Amino acid sequence: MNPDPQHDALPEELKDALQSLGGVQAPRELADRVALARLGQVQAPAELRHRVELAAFGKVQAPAVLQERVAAEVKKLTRPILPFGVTWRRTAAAAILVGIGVMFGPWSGSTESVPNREAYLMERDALLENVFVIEVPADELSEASRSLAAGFGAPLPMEGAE
Amino acid sequence: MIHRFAWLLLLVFAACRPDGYSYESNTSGEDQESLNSSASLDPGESMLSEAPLVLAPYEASMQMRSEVKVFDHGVLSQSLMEVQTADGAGQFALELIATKTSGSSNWIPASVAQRFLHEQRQHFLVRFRGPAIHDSTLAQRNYSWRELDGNFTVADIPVRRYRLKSLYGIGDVIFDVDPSTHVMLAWTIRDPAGTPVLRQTATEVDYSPDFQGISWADVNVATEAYDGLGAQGSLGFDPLKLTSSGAGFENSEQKTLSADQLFAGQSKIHLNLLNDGVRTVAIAQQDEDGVLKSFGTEVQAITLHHSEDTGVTVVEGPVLDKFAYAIGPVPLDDLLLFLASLTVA
Repeated sequence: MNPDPQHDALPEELKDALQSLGGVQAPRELADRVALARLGQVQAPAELRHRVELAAFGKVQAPAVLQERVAAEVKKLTRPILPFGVTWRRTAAAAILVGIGVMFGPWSGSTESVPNREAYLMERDALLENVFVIEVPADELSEASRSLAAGFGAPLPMEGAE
Repeated sequence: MIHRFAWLLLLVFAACRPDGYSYESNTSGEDQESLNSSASLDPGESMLSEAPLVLAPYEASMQMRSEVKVFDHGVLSQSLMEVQTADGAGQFALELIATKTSGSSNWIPASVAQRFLHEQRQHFLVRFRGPAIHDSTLAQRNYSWRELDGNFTVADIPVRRYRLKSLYGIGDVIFDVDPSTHVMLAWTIRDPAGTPVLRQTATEVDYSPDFQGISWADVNVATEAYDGLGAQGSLGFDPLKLTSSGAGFENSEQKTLSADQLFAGQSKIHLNLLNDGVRTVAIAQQDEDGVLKSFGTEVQAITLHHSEDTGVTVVEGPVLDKFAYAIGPVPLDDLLLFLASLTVA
């Protein structure tokens, strides 16, 4: 909640000039540029981080697309192919397999899929590559944002306590 | 004939497996490996074979005085003393009694303004601030359930302590449950490092309260179910579509928020409440006829502002032609994902 010490107060002369503008609202681009100028640090894109990691540690991580293709090929090549005939033994074996599958399969009436954290992280990082985030004190967020946050448990303003 | 009958029995048996389905015991192969690595037991806890019944206080008939703690990067930021009453039939009320700032040992009676703000938001605070079993299926899919060994009490009531370990790594949730009533009397939401984000602990519990004089929360204050009509309906604009379910947040409850009643000077807000079975996040958006509209429906990058010194993570900023918000007790990247996935419907 403390003000960011990096935020220098505006000179009085500039304040007067800005106040003389009355109700004119600055374009969002200006706000973004000021915010970026104050940022101080920028998070490198994931690709750059991977390249630096590669150079520094000699690790190689296959691209997500390649990993998916390889996984699909492996799955295809290792898929068991059962030569079903019409004999009762094979039919019984199939019934047992179906039964076991229903009993112990990863699906059920209560679960549709199993969380795959690695796949999720890959999806998340790919989506976030073009997102730039600036951390600000809570009081620099919009009123709507702060009000919504209060509905989810953000601290109440302490001013005016009796 | 005997063989055929045996197969039939086998299939019937398979179809009648118990509903108390154990997540850990029914996974296999690669999935089992990944689960084992993320679901390893800590000392002093045991895996639950099936999820216990857990009722949120607002689902029970009770009155509970409690202390809510809001943390700022792991440091206690504010404490609230509240009284929550529920009739067990869907009605509930939340009253703010006092507040306490970080480092202070004295409770300060809540001001009229604070009580008013709390009252206005009581429906959200009761339903969505804390964890609850919103969806048993998702709760069992997204979390590994364990019980901690030991004797625990809350408000002098013996409780059983459960730890729900997030299988997506967004942080654990701790429940203290009264086994005689199944009511959750305390909870803590943690970040992935185990640092508390929000906590509520009952200090007094009354399961036979006097409901006289209770002013129940108005469920519909300032909100209505989203009619799905976009610009043609009461919302007045076509909301962007969420294309990612994030860390297993699949339930969606869409509302139209008459923001001018709660947040002065604001236009209507499309509010999408999602839960992962246990915790809730809110994705909101307002129409914005700003300069970004000239870029069309595709932007290469978006710049957002966020803050985490509010107990919950908050992100806001322009996305396409909307001003969007994401709020919830989850890590920043997991919240950003929702806004980054917004597209034109």
